Amino acid sequence: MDCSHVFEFKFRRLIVVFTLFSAFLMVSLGANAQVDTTHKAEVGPGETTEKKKFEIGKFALHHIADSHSWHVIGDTHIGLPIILFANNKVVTFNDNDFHHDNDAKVVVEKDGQRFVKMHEKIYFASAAANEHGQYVDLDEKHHAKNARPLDFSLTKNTCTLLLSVVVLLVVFLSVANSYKKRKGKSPKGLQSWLEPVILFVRDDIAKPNLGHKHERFMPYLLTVFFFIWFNNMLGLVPFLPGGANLTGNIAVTMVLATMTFLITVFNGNKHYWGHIFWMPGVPVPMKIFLMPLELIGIFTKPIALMIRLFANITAGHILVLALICLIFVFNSYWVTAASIPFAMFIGAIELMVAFIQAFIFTILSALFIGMAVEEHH
Amino acid sequence: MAELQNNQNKNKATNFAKYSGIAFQMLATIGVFSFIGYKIDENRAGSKMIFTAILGLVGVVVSLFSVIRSLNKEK
Repeated sequence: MDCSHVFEFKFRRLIVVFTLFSAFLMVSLGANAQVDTTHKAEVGPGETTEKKKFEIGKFALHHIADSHSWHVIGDTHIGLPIILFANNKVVTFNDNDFHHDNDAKVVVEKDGQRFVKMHEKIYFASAAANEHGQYVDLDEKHHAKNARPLDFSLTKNTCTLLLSVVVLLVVFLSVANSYKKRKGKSPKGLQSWLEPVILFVRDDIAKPNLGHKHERFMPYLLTVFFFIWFNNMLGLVPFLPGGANLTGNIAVTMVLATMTFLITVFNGNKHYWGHIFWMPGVPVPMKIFLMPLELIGIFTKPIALMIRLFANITAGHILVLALICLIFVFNSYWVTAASIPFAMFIGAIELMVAFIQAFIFTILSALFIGMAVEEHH
Repeated sequence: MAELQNNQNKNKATNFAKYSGIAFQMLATIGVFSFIGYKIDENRAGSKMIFTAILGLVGVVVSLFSVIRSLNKEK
């Protein structure tokens, strides 16, 4: 399966134009929407003269961030378990104990310790509330100064991670089983769906970059590819088991990039390190000049991997949310005529991006590993 | 002939990945240099962020240099 024709698509130019257009639109709207964030008039239903401004930036950022509760629909949330390690004691309770408070106004007392939640972070509560009724001490930038316990909670992203592990295991164990059962026969069912993708990873990603050593790295490349792809797709599902922004979380992409980094470093042969510390074929002053540059290059490559995946997936989520938010910003049904088709269009693009980002992460990992294990010629 | 065509296609995909990575790599290089400068400035008593500025600029030069070098290396 050769997918390189994807990149010659004329469609792509269209995407770029559209993305730029919507980016400009978003910037101007965001500026308008956030003019008076301090002015929060409490409006009852039916009052139309004075409306609370809808904060598009806050809304979108809240939705792409990790959370201790899982939003289902309307005002229904699933409270996820909170597991803290505080003062050498493990403390567990449920997020529902905070009663949807996210401004440190509700104190949960457990095992003689008091906790508050502010902006999805758990803090030790202060003894008394401040003038806003918050049990935290704020600095001049309105960040909490309180100490924080170690937070091992099952958050929305953690749950998605576990879910995707289950999905991956179910899918691939069944595929592996059918290879065992139907040895030598043509693939069937899930197997025939995944076989071309697995072969694509092997023939178009691993083999051109790793040569005859590709078999050693296939397990890693396949795992990374399917993990990213499945999680990108799960993130696009707008209702319950999906919707979390796992591959758009920089901690997750950092772990993935770190693995590529470690595999590259530990598999590097002497030619690879030779090219870094003592570049062959250039004069000595140049060798000394190139050494720090190449050394920094080892780190910037995985950092670029980390940032790219994070930025692409987060941007996609924000774009869809922002388009939906336009309805509430303009507060008119007529906006749906424009924003819903646009959101669907971006959604379709995101399906492609989900695949392309998994592909790029895997091919660049293969490329970096390939550079490290390459035989001298 | 078909194999050659196939190889070219594969190269295209690899190149797409590689060149799309260059921008992020430049970003990361500049970021790493500026971060080092920022940390130096933080530990220095002075009020001007001189090391952030200088190392940020060095980062730009280094990233440009490495991009040009990597472009020359391929064919």
